[in-house]
Amino acid sequence: MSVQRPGPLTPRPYTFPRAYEHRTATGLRVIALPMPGRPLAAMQLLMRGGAATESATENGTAALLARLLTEGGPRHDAIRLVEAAELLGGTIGAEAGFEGVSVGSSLPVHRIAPMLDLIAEIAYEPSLPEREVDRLRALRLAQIEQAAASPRARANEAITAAIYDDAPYGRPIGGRRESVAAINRASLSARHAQLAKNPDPLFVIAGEFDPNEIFALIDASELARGVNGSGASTSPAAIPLTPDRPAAATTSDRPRVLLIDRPGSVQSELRIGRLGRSRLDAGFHAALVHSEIVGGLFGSRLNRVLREEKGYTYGAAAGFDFRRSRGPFLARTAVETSVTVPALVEARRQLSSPLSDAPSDEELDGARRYLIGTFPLRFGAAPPVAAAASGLTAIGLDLSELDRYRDAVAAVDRAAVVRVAEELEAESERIVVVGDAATVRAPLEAAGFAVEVQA
Amino acid sequence: MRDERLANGLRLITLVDRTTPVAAVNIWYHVGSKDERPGRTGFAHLFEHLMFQGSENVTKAEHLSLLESIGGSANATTWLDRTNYFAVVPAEWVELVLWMEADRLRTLLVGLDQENLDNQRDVVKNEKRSSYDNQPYGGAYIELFEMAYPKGHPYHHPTIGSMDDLDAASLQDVRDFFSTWYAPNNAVLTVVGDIDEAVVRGAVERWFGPIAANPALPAHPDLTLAAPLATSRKTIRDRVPDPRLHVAFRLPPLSDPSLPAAEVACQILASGRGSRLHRRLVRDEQVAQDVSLDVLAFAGGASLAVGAATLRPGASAEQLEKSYGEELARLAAEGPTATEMERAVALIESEEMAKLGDPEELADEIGGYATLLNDPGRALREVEIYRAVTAEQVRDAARAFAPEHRVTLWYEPDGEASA
Repeated sequence: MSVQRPGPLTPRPYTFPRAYEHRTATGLRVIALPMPGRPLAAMQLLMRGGAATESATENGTAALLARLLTEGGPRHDAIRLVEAAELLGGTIGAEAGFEGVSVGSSLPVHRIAPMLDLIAEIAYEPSLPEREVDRLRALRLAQIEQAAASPRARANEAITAAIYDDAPYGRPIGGRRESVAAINRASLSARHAQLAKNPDPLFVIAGEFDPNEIFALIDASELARGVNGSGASTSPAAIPLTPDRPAAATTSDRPRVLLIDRPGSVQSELRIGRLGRSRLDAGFHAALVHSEIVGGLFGSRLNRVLREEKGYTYGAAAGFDFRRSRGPFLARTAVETSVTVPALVEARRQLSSPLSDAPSDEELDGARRYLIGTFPLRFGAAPPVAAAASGLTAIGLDLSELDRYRDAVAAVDRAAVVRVAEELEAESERIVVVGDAATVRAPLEAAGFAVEVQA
Repeated sequence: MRDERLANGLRLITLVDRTTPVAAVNIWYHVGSKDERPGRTGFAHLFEHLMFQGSENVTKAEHLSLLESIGGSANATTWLDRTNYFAVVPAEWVELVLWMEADRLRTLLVGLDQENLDNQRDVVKNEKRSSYDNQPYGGAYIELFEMAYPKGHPYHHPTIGSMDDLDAASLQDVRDFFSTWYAPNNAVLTVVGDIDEAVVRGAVERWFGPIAANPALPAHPDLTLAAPLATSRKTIRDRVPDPRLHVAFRLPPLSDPSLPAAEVACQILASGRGSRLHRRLVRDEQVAQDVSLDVLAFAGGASLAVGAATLRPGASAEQLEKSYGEELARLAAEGPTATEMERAVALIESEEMAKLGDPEELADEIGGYATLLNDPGRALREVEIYRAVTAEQVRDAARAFAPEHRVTLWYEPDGEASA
């Protein structure tokens, strides 16, 4: 370099917001994270028992229930609820995840007291009106058809189904046609009753406040009245979330491709997936560094080759989805139809490259510094802080995880990254291509892939 | 907020916010797809890609990797009126970002070669395939702009451009585009965050100061629209799962004091489950799966309101279109209720609160208002501007939605397997 690049000034300290804990008399666990200078607060109530606890025939019930919660309770129907929230300058919404159903809001911190009551009303006493059940089930079914027409959504659903067979992690949280069509008011009501009695409900709030004032507000609110949290545990692990071990990938020794035909597609959506890691596994931080090097950073091996060297794609990415049990490791890209085979071959090569070509010092350093440096950027506002605290707590991790994050990333070495690559079981690999079968099938077979075409 | 100009015309705006130890660096270049010549569409956006391909002291594709390796993130966008480049980094690294921005403004052509051009042309073509061609309803915006602005108007053609034009792009065309538009006197540099203003000012002088202005910066094209929008209608049969209605209306340009009232009108009509269109079409009549109506604000000529509603399976398309239109007409006739105004303002206040807590977004808005309105301070005054909007102004703004000035575009399934 002909010019000396400017270096850094003295770094300024950053610490993740400190968490304060409280338990209401009724058993609701409360975590408050004060964030000076952030008057827009974020909060969420988590009731345990999400999509991970559903059988195949129940698939989508938690998600539809979440949507029904915002149809209101005994004191506010859907319209009065949204009007009340908006008058506070707030949002109110509910969402289902694998671990639970959450009701959340974001609004100016000086107006949170009435919002606590609104959250409690729809979480504890939802009306689940018959007419809205019918309407929202029909809407969900229409959304499923919309997603089926999107090559991106279709590929995402197919790859997880291919990795997990019929285990919960292999199903869309929103459900499939058959399971959603069977949901009715009775099944939603039963699902809600089960959520309400599951132990360890959790309320997390972040923003500019004094935590003791927040605890007093919560104790005085409806939120602290409607929980007992003393029901029998329906363990989230009651149903195996993942196959015990990967099914044999193929009877031949050729890698198998599920080719979903979308005639006339100008691009092929490619997904390559394997069974990944649990968030609870040792080596979490090494797995983060591994992901950045292989498929996370703009300069990752995958994106560098597929986009910046070959021009096959607008972008390519890969990474782990960390959950309580082993979530997937997925690579995603969309490539011009005519380069489907070389792009797939090159993507697979890059994904397993750490095994033969261990990360360089520069790659390791870049990935570690990226993860460490962007940590404060990710948590500048209250919503991601509340979401991170809730997500970790939901799977039983202590929030000190967030305090030690940057030191743990800094300690990741080359051997740890290679170990992550070694632990990605090759026999769990699945490949999905959504594209024009008439054009790409023959070249895929000629390149040695065993192709199964699905209409 | 400090607002100053270097001798070479670069406008520098700085704002200190010490809440988080980060710095946002944002540059707006006043060049967008409106500035492209016929036969050379898509250039502004292709150029945005080439700005990441290296310069005298930064190698190909190193720009983003270098930012990532200091714990930052960066991106850029191109739109009708502008091309903006933005990064957010740990505050201690702010000077490196300024240096990189200055290096590519000063010496981009040093790193530009045929191989980079060919590679990024392929990437852009794949961007178009991913974002438009291979998505259901993906071409709707291209169609709406072509219908809403007459042929030959600078807003008529899409920012992604014509693939034939991109194929025709020579290295010389690209060099000319850079030399014409990428100059300090056509840029606004905004730095927001945990910064020392004097340090930033010194670094900007050091790295940007020696870059020459372009004394022959061309004028932007005339955006005047001769006639009001005449009603028009088009139906596209394509591989989509359900019919979808798209509409567009012209609104006043960004500089017009009545545009905020139009934004409030759109919010009351289509934002959230309590909005008028959602209540009537999705909840009560159950003819739509979803509804939207959004403002796209532009510098001159006319801004646009674009709306959509996807038909619910089995429902009547005629009924959907009729009800959508009736709700717009009702707002124009009756105006909003007092409660609707109160809700809208409360939500806008919260959005403004979020923006002020996000250095990246705030820097972008400051740069935009400085570039297009010569009024960077508006980013901090927005909440007062919206609070001052009256119910009568909203009612009057909604008159822009009259059917005689409406563009209507229907997507219909082409009859083959919809999936």
